[in-house]
Amino acid sequence: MQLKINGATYEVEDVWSEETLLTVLRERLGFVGAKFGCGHGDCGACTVHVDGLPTRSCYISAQDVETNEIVTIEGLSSPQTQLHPVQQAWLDERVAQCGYCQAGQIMQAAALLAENPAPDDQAINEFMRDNLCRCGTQARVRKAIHRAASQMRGQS
Amino acid sequence: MSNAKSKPRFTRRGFLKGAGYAAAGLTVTYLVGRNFAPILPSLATPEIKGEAWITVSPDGKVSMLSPVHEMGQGSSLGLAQIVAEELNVDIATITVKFPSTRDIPHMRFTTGSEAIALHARPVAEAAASLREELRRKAAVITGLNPEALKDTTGGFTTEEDRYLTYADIVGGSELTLAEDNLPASHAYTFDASRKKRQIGRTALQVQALEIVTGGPIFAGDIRRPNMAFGRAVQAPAPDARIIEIHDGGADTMPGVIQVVIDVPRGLVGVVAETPGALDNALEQIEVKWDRPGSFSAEDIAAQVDVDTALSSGRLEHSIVDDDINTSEAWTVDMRFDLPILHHATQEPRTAVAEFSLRNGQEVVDIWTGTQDIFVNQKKAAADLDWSPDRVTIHAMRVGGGFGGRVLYDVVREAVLLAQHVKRPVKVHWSRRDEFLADRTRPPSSHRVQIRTDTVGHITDWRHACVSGHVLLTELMAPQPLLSVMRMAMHDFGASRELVAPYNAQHRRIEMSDVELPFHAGEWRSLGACPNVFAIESAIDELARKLGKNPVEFRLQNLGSSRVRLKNCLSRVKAMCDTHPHQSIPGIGRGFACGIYQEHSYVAAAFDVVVDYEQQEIRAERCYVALDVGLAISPDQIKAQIEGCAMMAIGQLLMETAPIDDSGLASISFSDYPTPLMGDTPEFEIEIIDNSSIPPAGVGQAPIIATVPALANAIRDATGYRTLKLPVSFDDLPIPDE
Repeated sequence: MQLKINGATYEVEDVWSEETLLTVLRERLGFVGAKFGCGHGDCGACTVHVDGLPTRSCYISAQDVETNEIVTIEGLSSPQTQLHPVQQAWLDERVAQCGYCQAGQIMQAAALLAENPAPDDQAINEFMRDNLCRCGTQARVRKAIHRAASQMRGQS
Repeated sequence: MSNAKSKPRFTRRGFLKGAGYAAAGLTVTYLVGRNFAPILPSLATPEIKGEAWITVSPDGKVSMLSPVHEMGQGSSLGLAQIVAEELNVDIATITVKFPSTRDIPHMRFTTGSEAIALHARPVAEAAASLREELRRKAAVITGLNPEALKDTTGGFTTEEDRYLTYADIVGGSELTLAEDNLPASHAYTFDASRKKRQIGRTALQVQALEIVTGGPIFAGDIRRPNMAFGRAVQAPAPDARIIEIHDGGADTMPGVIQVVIDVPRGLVGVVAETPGALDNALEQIEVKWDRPGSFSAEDIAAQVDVDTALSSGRLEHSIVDDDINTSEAWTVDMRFDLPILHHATQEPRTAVAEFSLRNGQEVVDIWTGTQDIFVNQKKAAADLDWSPDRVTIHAMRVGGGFGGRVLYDVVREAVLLAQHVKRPVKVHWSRRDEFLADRTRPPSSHRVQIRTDTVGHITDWRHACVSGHVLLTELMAPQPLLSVMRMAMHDFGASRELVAPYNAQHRRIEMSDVELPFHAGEWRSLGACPNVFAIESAIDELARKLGKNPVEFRLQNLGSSRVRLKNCLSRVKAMCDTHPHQSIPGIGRGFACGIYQEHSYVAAAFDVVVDYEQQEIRAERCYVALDVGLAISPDQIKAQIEGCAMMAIGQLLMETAPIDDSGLASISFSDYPTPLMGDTPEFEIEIIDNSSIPPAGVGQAPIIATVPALANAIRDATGYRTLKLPVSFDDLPIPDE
């Protein structure tokens, strides 16, 4: 099985072919940014992009995305910039508490901004709805998304 | 440039070299609690010393080992800010590392919001000693008096403007300061007259960059060569015993390495080549447990029913026992019921264990996120029948604690499974196991009765509470010692803040603690959250009944010694006053306040809207004023307050752990809803500047006020008094129109 991740192609042995995408990313290939939170696609900690769409990697099989472009948080920023504007906004707003859900939040937020460059609170609430955070960073997540959106609009 | 060189002094901390840490540079110890209590838990006692380290490397950079575990509460940043203040360096230049049990001889368990309160002074004094030692060495280099060297960022300046950096001063030499030979020092942190430069500023959290880029900082991110994946079958109840196991052919399934049945140590588990193979195999395994009979939610409610308990007279434990008048009618007489709560942290418990040979001796390394590395080390050693020095626990970032990461559980499974299969093993709990084996916040019920005189002064206050155990659990002692402790004393976790801060001429405060048939334990603020919920709901209702303003009434009944709490209340009131409030049906504002562990003062208010069209209760705005003395990381304090407000929304509107006839029944997050993005209010937060007072705990205090403030706001909006949590829209009366 082959997987296209962050612009590179990886060969994965057959023993992993029945595994979830999250498991292969984390345990076989070492992309540990996406996290296991629930295994049911309920919490969003495992979110990656599959062909640009935010996808719960704990809930799909790796072999189902063999032909797709997968982007993880490790590959979110362009090679020229150290951090994607969403990552930078996360630092500027000091969003994280424990940090466990944050890679998933950032991937979900980046997908939102790719689709809607100027989301209002309502749009953010809807799009980020299923990314859980028990520490209670929601207010800062929302602020960081607004900050990143305005930064990205300024750039384009 | 002087070539003055310090002679290395070898002390008993020479092993630091072995840990690859202080290979060069200047290292200093600081004093934190230490204890040699047999196994549970890692508690500090003030008169006993321990140590941790701050180092200036040859390039002049400062690094430190954090003496506290980081789980998002931000205290490692706070302690780093103290070090930065003392050493006159920018906080952003300090490297914070998390130690293993080999790096330090002892570390207190990180719990009870005490990380900053207990460690601020020893960390400050150690860093100040290091600064003065650097000044002394700079004086030797320049031939000047130490007093002639002025503090400058990252070094010192002479009167002739010669600047010596810390790199110049340490000059490639190596020095370890013995704790009996520290230079006299003056900690800037506790000098109220000094303008702080690093303390009180907004800084980036420790490991923030790793968090936003996906760096490996959690236990599950650890990968070892030839690592396998394991998991044990979780016991459904405390003291459940295995009576029968059917492995369902799991042993021969593809990818399965071994089905482990370890009878002497009471463990059933599977180890497999991949996580998916592991899940498939575990589904086949059936375990029959010897455990008490089945029970229902009603049975549990009956067990903690305060009125049933009171009907047979006094409760088991008397906390305050004044002679109160029970024959006359009470001004308010209320009963509150609080449900079982889960921690529901985002990270399931995880550990990686790897056995190897070190100097010809078998040892084990374990990576895990825990609130107590040393209890895990000692207990793993006991399970292996080894001396503790053969067990190394590497402290990883904890993906949410809230009191739920204090025990020896997942480490035990990783160690035993790795020992059985002779390979490194990663154990990652499933979400279902997280719920099933969660040490929940136990349910409680409360009877609060208050009587006032004709001018509204409280004459009699009675609070009776029945709760499950919080601290008198496996945390404190194994059976049968635990049963003896439970008979001899009351659960001092469940009774936390049971005595209200209000003046009352006579009080009777009593409680019973009951043994529940499922796991319970520490949950953010322990019993304080339910106890203060009952107190602050009752005082609010009392004010309403007497036709008094709820804030004025509280201020009137708080004694003259409650200056800091009254100030918090007044500040919250002032913040609220900037947002004019209409008292009309469907719109409400509620207040609450409290003192947590004597030193943390908090007041909170919520504005709520009951939307009768959408059929929902919305928290629109949350106001909090907090006084914890010196505020070291105000932005991290705000983050903790925001978290406590979100948890208040969860407690009021959604959280209750379902149970079925076999116990805790949540399988997925959908069984235990917690607040979402759309539930988030606006925040107005004031951290009261009280820098002359040593810092107190922050992580738990706000929640004692945010939960009742929200209930009081719902009361204001709808007339509905929340007596039983959580409340839903359907509980509310329909307004007349």
